[in-house]
Amino acid sequence: MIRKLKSGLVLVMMFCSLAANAQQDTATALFEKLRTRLDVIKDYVADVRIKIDVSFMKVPPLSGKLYFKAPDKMKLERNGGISILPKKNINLTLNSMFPVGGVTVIDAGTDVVNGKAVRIIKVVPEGESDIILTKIWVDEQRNLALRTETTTRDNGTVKMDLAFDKHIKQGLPDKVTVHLDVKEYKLPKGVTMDYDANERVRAADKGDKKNKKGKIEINYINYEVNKGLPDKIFAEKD
Amino acid sequence: MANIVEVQGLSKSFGGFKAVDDLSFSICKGDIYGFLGQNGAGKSTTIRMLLGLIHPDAGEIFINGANFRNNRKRSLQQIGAIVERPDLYGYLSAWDNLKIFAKLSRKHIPDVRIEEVLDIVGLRGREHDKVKAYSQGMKQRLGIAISLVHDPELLVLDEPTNGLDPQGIAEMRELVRTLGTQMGKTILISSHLLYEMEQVATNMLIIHKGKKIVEGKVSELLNPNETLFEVRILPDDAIAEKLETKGWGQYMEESNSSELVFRMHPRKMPGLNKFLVEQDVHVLEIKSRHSLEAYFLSLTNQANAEAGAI
Amino acid sequence: MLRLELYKIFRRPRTYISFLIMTAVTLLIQVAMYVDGTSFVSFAMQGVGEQFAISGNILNGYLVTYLVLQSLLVHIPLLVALVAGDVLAGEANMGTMRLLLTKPVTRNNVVLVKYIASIAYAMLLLVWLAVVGLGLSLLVFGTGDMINLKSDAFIMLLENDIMWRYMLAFAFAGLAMATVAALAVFLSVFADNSIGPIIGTMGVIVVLTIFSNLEIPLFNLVKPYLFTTHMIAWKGFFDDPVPYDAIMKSVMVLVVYIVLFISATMVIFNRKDIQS
Repeated sequence: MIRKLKSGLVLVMMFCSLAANAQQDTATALFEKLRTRLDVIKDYVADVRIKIDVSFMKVPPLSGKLYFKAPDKMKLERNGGISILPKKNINLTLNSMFPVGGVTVIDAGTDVVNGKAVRIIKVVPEGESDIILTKIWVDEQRNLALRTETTTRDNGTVKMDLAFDKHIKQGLPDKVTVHLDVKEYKLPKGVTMDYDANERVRAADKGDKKNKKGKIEINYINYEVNKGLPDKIFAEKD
Repeated sequence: MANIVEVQGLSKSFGGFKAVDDLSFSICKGDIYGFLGQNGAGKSTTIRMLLGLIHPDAGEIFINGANFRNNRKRSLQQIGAIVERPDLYGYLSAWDNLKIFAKLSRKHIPDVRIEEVLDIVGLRGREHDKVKAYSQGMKQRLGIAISLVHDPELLVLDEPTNGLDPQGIAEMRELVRTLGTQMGKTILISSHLLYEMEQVATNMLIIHKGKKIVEGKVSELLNPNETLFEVRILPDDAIAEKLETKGWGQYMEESNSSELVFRMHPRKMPGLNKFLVEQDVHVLEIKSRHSLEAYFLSLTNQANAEAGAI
Repeated sequence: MLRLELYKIFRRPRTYISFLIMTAVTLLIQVAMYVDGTSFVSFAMQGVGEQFAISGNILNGYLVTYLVLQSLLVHIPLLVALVAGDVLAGEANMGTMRLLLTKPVTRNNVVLVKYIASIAYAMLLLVWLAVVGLGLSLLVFGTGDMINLKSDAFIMLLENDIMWRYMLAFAFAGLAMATVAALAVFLSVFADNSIGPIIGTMGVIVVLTIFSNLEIPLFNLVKPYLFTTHMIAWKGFFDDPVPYDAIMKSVMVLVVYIVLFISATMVIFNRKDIQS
């Protein structure tokens, strides 16, 4: 009897181990599937409309062209107009959230994003990388990343939400929302000599300023994919 | 004759100092009205009140029958004035100054009128020079041109000979005479140059310490029998007695061995001169002290004496 | 009479000196921006630059003009006071006041006309500033989106959304300078020499500007009533959204000050004995 129980236990343990291994493999496979899909996109030019929602910034929606070239070149062009993007090292494209080279992928469970059931995987680069860890919420059915949370060495944690619609076939999002941590902004009043329009409004604003979060919403109107963009587009103008 | 100016009970104090005290006078059409007084007597203050530059504490001013207080614009249209020295826009030319002040008169003044007044005051040919380059005499004449340009009935000239040299004073005198006699202007002219006033004024008012001392026609106020003559001679101790003996003593005001002062009609001077020559008196100089000056001094000294007595 | 006053003002060399001074200061600022504007912009945007990458034609004509306006609207009151402070005191000093007032013009008219002539001069000064400041800056530095840094906000305005703001800002600056002119004319009635009113006007503006800008609770009580607090309302046109209510309030305050200054001038001038 005891021998039967012991065998049964071993079998269950072996099954669990196999199953666990199967889950791990599935997570890695899931990541590889995603990365493969992304790797198809070598470059693109997209007409974008960017909304900046940061407490101390009053910026109207900015229209422009977003240029991307794999693996990490990106530029926003506004015909001489002013472009405002988070610090240089935070690349706004999904590709930048995906570490290149060897990675360890860990299954981190499931979740629901915008009503869709998703698998969460954690990706840890094996070699030298600015990225320490990327957490990805994956829509398994459509092979799409709906959310990423990337922790980098120098730039803290960047969260991105992605929405897909018109360009779903190419796996390219219609809208990307980047969530940022922002520091308080202050300049001496004696220098700026502000016109204080309304003290009450200012007091209300102050409440928001204590909230140190901000977000940038990029709406992709259209894409031109894999047109062979030259590197000189991304060169810094003096 | 109608009064162009009627002043009734005019008074003005500055702090505790009474500059003009219950002054009344009137100016008829066609008068050349001399306004006399020592420095600080109240002449300029009175003239400034007449022109609305200073607000009187009491009294009324009428210009051609209309109360100045209620008809300021209409009254000033009938007046042309220089108040003390005529300060003008030095950075502009005489022509420009005339155009500006002509426009301010609220009358249409054509360029030909401006040329006319320039001719009257003798500034033609210099009208486009900047005023800051003008001599004092030229500025005074330009001031008169400005006061004339809108053809006013009444000219008010406050010390028009200020700063002028003897030739300038003589020219100003002639100009005033021309304006009064030939152009029929009524003129109120204030001055402390009594000889000049005597030459041009038909009427006069003497003011002393803000009060009127006397007012009237010059011809009636100044008695030729009151003319003073000063005669300087080589010293002669007996001359006073000689003059008394021959009846000249009644005209003698003062005498000493070398200087004699007579008060008499100028017609008597040849007779006196002949007598002195016959008496072997050596006459060095005969000088007449102007009648208006004498009259003025006598009045003001009398007023001072009365004030002292009070 | 207004034409005569303008004629007198524009026949004086000092009037053109004002335009020259303004041109020189504007050109100096533009040259400085041309040579070293990038470092200035980087320095000014340190706070935002730490967190955001900002690129494009930042140092464009609109930003340079804003900097010119910011500095010059401190200096222009002096240039306005140079003329407005002279309108009554200068005539008294020259001696032409007594000749002027023996003409059939009311004293109220004299004050009003001289004030309007001062405003006309101030407006021309601002038009010239628009030409040299805005026009030349756009020519040299080009156009683009404009960045406006407030003490607690970073504002960006799109290129096609800026020109109308400048039109209104200049119009408001005109009202602000009209207030300065009213103060200068008011002080001019007390003096027989224009130096006093000119220095007096600048002194009042400097002292009240300090009150308007120091963050001291006691001063906060009076700030809303000071015209210097409201003179900088032109900046509101470069805010997002534009605080129209606050700007209208500033307009009303400045208009009230103008009415008060000029009314007081008329009352005092009418009662004044002209002894100069």
